[in-house]
Amino acid sequence: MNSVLANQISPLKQATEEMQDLDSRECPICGISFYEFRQGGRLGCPHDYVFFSEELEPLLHNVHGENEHVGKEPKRGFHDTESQTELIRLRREMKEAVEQENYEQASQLRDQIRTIANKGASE
Amino acid sequence: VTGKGVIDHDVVISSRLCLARNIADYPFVCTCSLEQLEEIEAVVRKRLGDLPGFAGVSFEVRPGATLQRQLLAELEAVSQSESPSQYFANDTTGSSEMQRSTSAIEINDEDHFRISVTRSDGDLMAAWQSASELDDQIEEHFPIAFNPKWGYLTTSPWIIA
Repeated sequence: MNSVLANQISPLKQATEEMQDLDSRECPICGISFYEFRQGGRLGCPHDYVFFSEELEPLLHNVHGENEHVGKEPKRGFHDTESQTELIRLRREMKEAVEQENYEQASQLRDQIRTIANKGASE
Repeated sequence: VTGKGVIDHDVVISSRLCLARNIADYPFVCTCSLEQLEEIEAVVRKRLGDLPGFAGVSFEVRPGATLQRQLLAELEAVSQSESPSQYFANDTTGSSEMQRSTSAIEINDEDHFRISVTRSDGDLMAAWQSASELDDQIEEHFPIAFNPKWGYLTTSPWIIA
């Protein structure tokens, strides 16, 4: 009897642990956790669509019935979330550099931001 | 909706089309700091404020504006009076167009931009055309969060498209 119960409880325990691990994952860019997303239904930045892609894919398919965008696209700007993510990260680092009065680093970061932004504008 | 025609009908039907857009190099509104939201507002004022149809429009950084106030603002826009809190940009300056539709852009509510077009004549293609033109104008001045697989990225995955 004990072994039967153990066989039934074990997968549940494993699923709970997996869910707890998933809930504690945090986006390195905006800091939102999967638990916060599950609770509020809102993502924190474009990178979340990449960071939580495995979990979001079935959800998005259920909601929209498709897994591929069709229709209008921006005529210019970034078409990859990596560049968007990089800009968000660089802006945050520049702000931190200014707060720490590290103006040389802030200046370098500003130049990096301009380079990426200009590249996006010309695409 | 426009205050014209027969006004004692029990049911009034209008069509409303919304597009949600986000600036690519900022986090979504729910994770932006107040400082970032104010920065976005300042940049929007600077880049969109002088465009035709946007002149004289006031923008406000106000996450969580209620639906009731949004609706009130739109109805005020239709009647050509100034909306109480000026959440919206009204781009329909022609008087005949004003009677049929109103267009608005909300800043920093759930998404950085929420473009909405309301029409009382049921012409959805015209509504889409108006919304898409406003979208194009915004895109001229801001990099928009987009992913080829998922489309325009929004804070809520339920309205991604």
